[in-house]
Amino acid sequence: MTDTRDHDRERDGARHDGVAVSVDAVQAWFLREVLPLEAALTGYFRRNWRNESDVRDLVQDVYVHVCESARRDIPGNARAFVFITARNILIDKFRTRRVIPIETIGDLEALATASDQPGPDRDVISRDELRRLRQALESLSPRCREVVIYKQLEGLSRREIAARMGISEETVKEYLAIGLFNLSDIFFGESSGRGSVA
Amino acid sequence: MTGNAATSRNSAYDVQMAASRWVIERRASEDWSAEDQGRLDAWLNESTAHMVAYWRADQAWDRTFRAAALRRPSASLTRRDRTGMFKFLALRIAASLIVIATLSAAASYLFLGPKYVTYRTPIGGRETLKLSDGSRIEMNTDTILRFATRASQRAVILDRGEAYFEIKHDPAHPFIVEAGGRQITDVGTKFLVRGEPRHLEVALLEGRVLLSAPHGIDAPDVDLTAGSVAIATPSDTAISKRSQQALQDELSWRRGVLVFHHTTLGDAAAEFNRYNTHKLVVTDPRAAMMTIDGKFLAGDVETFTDVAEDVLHLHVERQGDETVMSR
Repeated sequence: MTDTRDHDRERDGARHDGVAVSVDAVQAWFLREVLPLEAALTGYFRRNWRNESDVRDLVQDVYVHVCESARRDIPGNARAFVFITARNILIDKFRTRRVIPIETIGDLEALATASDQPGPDRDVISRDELRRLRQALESLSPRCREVVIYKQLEGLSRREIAARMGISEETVKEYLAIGLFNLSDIFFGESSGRGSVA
Repeated sequence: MTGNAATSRNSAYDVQMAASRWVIERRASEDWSAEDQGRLDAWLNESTAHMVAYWRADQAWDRTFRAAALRRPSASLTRRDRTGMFKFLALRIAASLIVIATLSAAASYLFLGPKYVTYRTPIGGRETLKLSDGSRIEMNTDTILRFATRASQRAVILDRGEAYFEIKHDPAHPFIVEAGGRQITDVGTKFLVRGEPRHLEVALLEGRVLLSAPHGIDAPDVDLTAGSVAIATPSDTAISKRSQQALQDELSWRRGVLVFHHTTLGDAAAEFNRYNTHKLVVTDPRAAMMTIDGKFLAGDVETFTDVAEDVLHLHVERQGDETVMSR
């Protein structure tokens, strides 16, 4: 179906832009290279875009854009690619308001070239991660925290948690979802717990 | 992966909340059906935003689990109050126990006056020995190993500690490891030998080895295959099966990492103490029974004590060369 012969390619002057990278490979790349940048990316948007309530959407737009690009070809320098995408998205937004602050560009240079230094084993628990976990758990409402601890740390089933706390299984599920939403923000985004729903 | 940023009108907040619900459905449900999977796939395929939000929440779920999964001492754990070897066996072999064979008979000593070269690693040290035949031996912390130079066979005596062997098979020159009064004869394989004061542990990653019967007992060698773990005491041999993942975790020291999976604080502290001169002491028996999960750098005692303090809410006090943990 995507049979490109040499003369076709020459005439088109570009490669067929079909999907070339598997979803699994994109997922692995996203989790390894892009997600760790979320805190920096969130900070970048907070500094450069006045409306705090748009930040989550802007970060999502970057993720969607870079993952769709990665389906064609995994970018070599994830960090640079993510922040160039972020800048372009911001510029688009500014354009509709006809103002582009100059500092946005300068800020980007610093971010895109800063090197991140992975540890000897990325999976190893770091003190920072522990602090974040504690912080994340503390940011949850007491009931929500209790449910998350029962499930994740004590390995109880939803039914057991429901029985122990005298609430319905549906409520347990909802608490877990809220807990996970907040934990995701604290692990990957900024640790202030902004946008908390608990 | 369809749709794009411009067309995904749902707010990121709603998408992430929905993704969190899906992850909870998928990961924390006891009855996930093919139909459920179909509904999830349909939702994921609606937009890239859905898929990315799902990856992110799923990763957070894993991370929570990994970062410091603690379990308060449960009834079954606190009741365990046995001593010595039996406690160890109960702990290590647990559910996957396949065979406990008590063997009887006499072993013969092959090592009659060979010449040895001795290698040692200090506490916290790690060393790789590369042999001329392409075999490798990785010595873990606080280990003493003697290598025999003989024409007819390749022989190593593990006097103390732990070593991982990747041995090139050579039928003319069998590779023999002697440890804890036993002989392990390699038949081309990757295996781990760990000497403890009262027992020896042999774990097979690939291939086969033959483990001799206890000294003074006349019994055939035990044939160990990939995935087997033998716990050998001076009188008994217990064999269990472990998953590749569990075996890889056991070998994580090769990367300088300790992996704990439902490990009691007491055992975890003992493990850290193998690698560090600064020792951890758990004074309170109830505290020692608390279990933890997670990966740590072997030399990073401080993060571990932070876990004890922050997550297990233990009292941690540094006293000279020791850190004492209590409730």
